[in-house]
Amino acid sequence: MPPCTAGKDARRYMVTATRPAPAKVGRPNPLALSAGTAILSVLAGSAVENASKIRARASEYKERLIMNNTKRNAALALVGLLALSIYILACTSFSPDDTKVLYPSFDVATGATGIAGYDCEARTSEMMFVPVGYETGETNAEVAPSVLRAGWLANGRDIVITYASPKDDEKAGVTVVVMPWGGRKPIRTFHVSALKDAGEALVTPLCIAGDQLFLHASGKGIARLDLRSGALATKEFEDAKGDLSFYPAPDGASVFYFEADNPSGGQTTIGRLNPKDFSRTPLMVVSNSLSQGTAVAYDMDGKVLALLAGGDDKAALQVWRDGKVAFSRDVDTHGKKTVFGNAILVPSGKAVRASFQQASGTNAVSYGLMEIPFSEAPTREVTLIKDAPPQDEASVSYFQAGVSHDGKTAALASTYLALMEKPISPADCALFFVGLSDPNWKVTKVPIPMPAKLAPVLK
Amino acid sequence: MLDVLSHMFAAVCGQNPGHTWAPGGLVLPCCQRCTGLYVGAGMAALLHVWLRPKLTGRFLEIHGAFLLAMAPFGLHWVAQGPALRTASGVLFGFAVVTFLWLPLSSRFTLHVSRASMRSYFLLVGVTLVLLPMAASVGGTFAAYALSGLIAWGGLALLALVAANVILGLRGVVCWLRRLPSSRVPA
Repeated sequence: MPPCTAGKDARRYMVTATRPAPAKVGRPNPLALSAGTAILSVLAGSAVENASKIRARASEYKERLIMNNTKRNAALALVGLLALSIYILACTSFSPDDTKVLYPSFDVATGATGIAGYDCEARTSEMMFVPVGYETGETNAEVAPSVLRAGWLANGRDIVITYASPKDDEKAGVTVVVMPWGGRKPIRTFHVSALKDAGEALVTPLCIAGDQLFLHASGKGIARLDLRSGALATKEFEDAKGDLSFYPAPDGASVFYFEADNPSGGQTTIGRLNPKDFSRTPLMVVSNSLSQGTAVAYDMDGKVLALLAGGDDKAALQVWRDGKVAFSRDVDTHGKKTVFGNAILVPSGKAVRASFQQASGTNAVSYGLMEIPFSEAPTREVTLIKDAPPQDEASVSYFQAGVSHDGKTAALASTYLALMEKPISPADCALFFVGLSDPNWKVTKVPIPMPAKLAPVLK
Repeated sequence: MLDVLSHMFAAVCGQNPGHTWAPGGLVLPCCQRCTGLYVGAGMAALLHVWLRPKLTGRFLEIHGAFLLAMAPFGLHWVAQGPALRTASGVLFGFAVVTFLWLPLSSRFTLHVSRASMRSYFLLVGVTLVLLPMAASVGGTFAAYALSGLIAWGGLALLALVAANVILGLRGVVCWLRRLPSSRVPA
């Protein structure tokens, strides 16, 4: 007898011990027994075989089902992942300034110039900021004209607006306002004084690098304003050979400087300014001196520079690449005197687009947008304002083009042309959108309502 | 908190200021559609863990339709306002989480009942109604609560994506191991 062990073995032992003894039967016929055994074994064999086959088939089916489910789950998860990736890519590509356009407009109540925002999707405009100043020394104080320039901060939510009165003296400076597009946030106002020709400096686009705004302080000086903390730093470049001018880099993170070589009188150094320590890195030297009527366009790296000159001379384009003239051509202006406002390189880098003013005879001018390829291919242009009263050539600097990040739409506002000595007609005062991806450059005109009483003439 | 979240979500959302809710004057960290997506994803993740609906047949077809619904809304084929933009995001969030949950669901014992399916779709409807309402009429508390939900949804999606990527890589490794070795006979 085996030893009694605890637990399972013990129970098994007890079961074995209590199993009833087999019943006594008579002696069987050996022949019948062997035949029966043979039949039973055959039957049992086939049953076992069938059962194992069914079991195998069932497990195979189950395995296939699991495999199919796994494959289906993996495929659907992949669909989910792809859909999420496409969604995120699409959402991040919507740039705020491609759906909202900031432009100068008139405040109907005061007649002052302000900044309005146009929602391209809703196709509505709303006035966002109106600074009202007064001409002093008058018996009946009049609203003073002001030039405003607006831009977006890198976060795409805050707007920077700078303004100055063109009639102010040199020490008046520039007022800088940082305000949110929507939502509740403090509106910050900064005043930067002692800027030379403050109003004139606003003719070029705002130099915003990150959260810092760079303003031309004097001939060789620059002022850096931190738009978050308000910290102001100035720098005078004593070693500069001549006057400096500053332009925003397309990446929104740095600033380009154009340094005139005053002693030689015929060279301009283009370089990148480090926003942190004001160090200058020259990128290219061009043998041209950039006269006031020259429109400049440049690429992201500062390696390609397009100079577009017009005026009394024949309009011409010169393209510099890595310090050498890569291409030059005359611009066909149909024999009409043409001056350019601002120029922008197309995303492919194979053409430049510029706003222009063209004399139509002696009594009228027209304004529009032109594309000049870096080849002998014909230029392309669209006239937006026809038969406007003749103006000074410099007035074209108040008619500048902005292009959306995707390069598909250009926007131009004629607000300031309504403040000239000989203003454009109210019907021409508008925000123009030019669909650049459209083969015919479809123009959409958004009227800018002109108040009955405007600020005095802009000079 | 909102600034930190806003900075983080800037990597995955255009944050169009004109298309962003600002309950109580506080701007949410992502646009209206993304708010719907992340809040919807967060809710879906919770419901899948809590209710464990059966992920077959009609359920998957409905979520496939939710996923496809993003095309007409995302591509601006249909006119839409803030509420509709958010709603399209919610449905998309539920669909993405459901599809990403599929490979993981086999690792859990599914306890399914008709009541759980009904509860699931009832809560989808509640999210669709309450989210735009809270975002449009809610105050500062709603802004913080929604930002919290957005953050939770973002984390849930991130975890699901990571889990699926790991499972996918494991599957690839197993498949490579099963391949016959390409030994050149001597």
